[in-house]
Amino acid sequence: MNYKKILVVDDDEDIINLLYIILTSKGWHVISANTGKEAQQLYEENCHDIKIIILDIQMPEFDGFKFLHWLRDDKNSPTFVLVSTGLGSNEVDYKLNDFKNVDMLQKPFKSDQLLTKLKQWNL
Amino acid sequence: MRKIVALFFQIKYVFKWQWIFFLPKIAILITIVLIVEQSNVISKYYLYDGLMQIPQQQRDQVVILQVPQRELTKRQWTLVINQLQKELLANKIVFNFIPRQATHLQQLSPQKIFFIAEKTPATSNNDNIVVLPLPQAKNGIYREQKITGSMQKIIGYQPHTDTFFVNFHSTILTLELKQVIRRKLVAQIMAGKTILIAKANRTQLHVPFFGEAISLEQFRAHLINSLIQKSFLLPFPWKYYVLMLLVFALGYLFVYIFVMPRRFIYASILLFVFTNIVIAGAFYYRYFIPSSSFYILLMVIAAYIWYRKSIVTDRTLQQLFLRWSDYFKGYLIQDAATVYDWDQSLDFLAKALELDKYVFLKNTMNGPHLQLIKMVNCDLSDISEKRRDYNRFPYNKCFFLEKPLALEERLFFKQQEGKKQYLIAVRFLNRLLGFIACSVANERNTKVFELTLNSYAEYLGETIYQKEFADAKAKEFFEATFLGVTELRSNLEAFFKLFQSKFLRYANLIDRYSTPTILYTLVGRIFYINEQAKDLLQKEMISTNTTLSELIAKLGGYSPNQSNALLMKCILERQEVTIPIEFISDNLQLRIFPLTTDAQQQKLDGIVCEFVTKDTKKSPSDLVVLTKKMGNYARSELTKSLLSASLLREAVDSQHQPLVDMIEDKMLSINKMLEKCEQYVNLYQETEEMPTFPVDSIDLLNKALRKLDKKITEKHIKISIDKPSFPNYALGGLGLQRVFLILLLILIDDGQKNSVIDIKIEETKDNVVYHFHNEGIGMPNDLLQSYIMTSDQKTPRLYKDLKWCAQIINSWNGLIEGTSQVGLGINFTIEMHSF
Repeated sequence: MNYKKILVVDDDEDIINLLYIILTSKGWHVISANTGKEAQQLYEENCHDIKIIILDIQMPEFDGFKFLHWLRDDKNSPTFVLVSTGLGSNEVDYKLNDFKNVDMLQKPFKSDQLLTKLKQWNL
Repeated sequence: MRKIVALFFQIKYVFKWQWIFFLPKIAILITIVLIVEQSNVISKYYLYDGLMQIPQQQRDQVVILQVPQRELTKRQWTLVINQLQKELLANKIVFNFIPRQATHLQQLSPQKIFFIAEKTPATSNNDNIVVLPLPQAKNGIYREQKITGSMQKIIGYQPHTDTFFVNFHSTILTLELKQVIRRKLVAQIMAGKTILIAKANRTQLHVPFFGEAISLEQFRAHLINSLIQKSFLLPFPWKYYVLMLLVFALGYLFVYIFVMPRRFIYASILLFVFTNIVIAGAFYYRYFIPSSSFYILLMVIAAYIWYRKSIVTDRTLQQLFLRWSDYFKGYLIQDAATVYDWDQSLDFLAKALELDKYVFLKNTMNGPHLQLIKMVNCDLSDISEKRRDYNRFPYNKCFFLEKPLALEERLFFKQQEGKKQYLIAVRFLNRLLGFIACSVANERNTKVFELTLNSYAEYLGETIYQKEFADAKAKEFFEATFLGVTELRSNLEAFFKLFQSKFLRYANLIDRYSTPTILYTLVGRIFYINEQAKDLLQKEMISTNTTLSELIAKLGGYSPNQSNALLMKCILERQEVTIPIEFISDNLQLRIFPLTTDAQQQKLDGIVCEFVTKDTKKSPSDLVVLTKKMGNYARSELTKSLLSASLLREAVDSQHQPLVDMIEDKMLSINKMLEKCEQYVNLYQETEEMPTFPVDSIDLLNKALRKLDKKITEKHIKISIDKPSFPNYALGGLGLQRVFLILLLILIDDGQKNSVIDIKIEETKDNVVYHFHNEGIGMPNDLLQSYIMTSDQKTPRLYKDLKWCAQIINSWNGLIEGTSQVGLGINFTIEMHSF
């Protein structure tokens, strides 16, 4: 099986665990980070393999937006990013306008909603 | 003038013989009437004489032959007559008297010899006697002559008038009889002329206006000459004259009032020219109109119109400005809104901005020279920049920069460790009033500091300008006082100063607060105070001259330094400060926050103080933050539950699948409730906090468009904006910007590639209307209406906020409408109250 690598960034360990189970069962190779800084490090190490990043916006210190800016501006990476947030949609929407290859997944979401989003990129 | 009149009437009642005080008035009235009458007479005849001096081509036709007083004999007369007729070729001979030999002389030449008599002789059958009565003098001047039928014999034709004006501007030659007898005359002198034979007469008649008196024979010679040459003028019939005066008076009034009501001078010139044309036209037809009466009439009507206009204008302006100024006076603390000691402002600047050192250099307005007039925390030895020519660096660079210039190349003060130096131009209405040079601690937030310094420089510029304006105008007040229009002038000036101070906008803003609220200037002086705050201060006996710093210290029980520190936090960090109040009421708090009227809330316009009760102290922001945090937490938990449910679904058999469905549904309904709660809190925050200041809505629209720049470019959409050229202020702040953003996002999303989005902003008297239209796919109108009315799970993400837009616009007493049609795109219209 050709494993596709996915990076899950969330400060909630439970969510990481649940996503790990769901995504692994669907053939994804899941790597995870609890903070933005940690995610930076993992990305640096796996930048060629990571196909998608599931990114939580609300994180302490180095939040999702900072990571996104780092990814696009500093690393110039076109990697697909699925932003998951528990904040109001419009608050995040406007800020995401400037980024390409970024989609949003409003919390709370079901596993099939997540998988549909991933499928739409046809990876 | 009113005072004089009032004094006059007061005196009147003190004395018993009140009627005495009317005598001067009567005397003045009589004098005026006489002056007008005499002016009319004098100018009339002066004009007459002027007209008569127009050069005439004809030769004079009359020669006076003066004979001695003694009677000549028949033979002598015969000799003279023969000589006059045969040798000197005279045409007619007219005797100014009736000689004894009249009958004999008449027989010598019956058609050529005539005799003038004052009245018809009682016994005479001489047909050649011409009756010519002595004319009546008018105003002591002889010029109007009654004509009799017998004059026809002398002049050879019958004039069509009874009365005419004699023309005195002919040169009548007077010869003596002995010159005729001695044959010393040549025929050319008398050939073809009428010879008036007269005895030297002592009667002197006063004729031309500035000429000398003349004798009776000279008068008659001029008279006969006027008739023969037809150079006399006819008096204008008085009935027509009166009618003309009436018509002209009405005409003058009509022109002044209806045709050219606002061009008094031009109207006067036009009427004067017209009057002259009419008079000249009459003169051409040999009618003499006493033209001076028309000039006097014109002057009287012009003066009357001018007087009435002045009275009406004065009264209207007085009423208007008194009404306006009365209205403002009720609210305004005059001193604070206009001019006060700007030196104090400079002191405040140093404190508020925590300046280390600073100097103020004033433009001397006498060449490009600056004068150092204020130094704070420094002396001359600290200043390294000694040049005071603002055409040179760094002043010139600073002037054109239009923001604070961070001095790096050439420092103003001597080098200091850990300090930054700035120079900023102080100006108002493009007029350079001076410069502020200052040094400040390095650790200060540069951007905020520069913006704040800029706000202060603008404010000081306006204050100094107002002060200079007031000084310059002080001299003119003397004249205003002299003319009795001081009150009007001061009202006018106050009125325009209020407008210059953007008073109306801020007054409108503060009046919207239901709580006692005071707006302070950037230097902590009261600019505007609402009724509630005025009552509160009055109740607590706090003067409206109290500065903000003093108010904070007094109400909060702080030291001046603590009070200044609180202010600095508000000014420099743009933060709201709330302090408990010790004096007024235990239940009250003083909320102090910066007033900004730009969308970024960076340009500082003033400081607002609001008295709020502790119970009702607004903290919607806190509520929003709390709800946001709770929402985020709850959604994460719900996500976990939903994901767990997904895994559970795979683990349980089909019999238990409905249980999993139920768990998912419950999770989603909790999320729905959460959304509603957030919407409510957001709306509460928007309505309570956002509409606190009117902002330039066009600026907000531009900012929203800039945020969507990428999306617009991606779809190659063209934005067409039809907007007024001046800023439009409306409520809403960032909330309105968000509304624009949401609507534009929808329109862009719906819009077709390479299409146009039309935005039109229209202003009515009180409202501003924004029209948005795209060339897009559109949707059934009912569907769009449902998105505006409700928002649920089925609503597409993009349209979810439409309901919020409608609610927030409604909360600002505005209106939002949306229409759509499949294939034609979407229209949105927002109507809001404007300022």
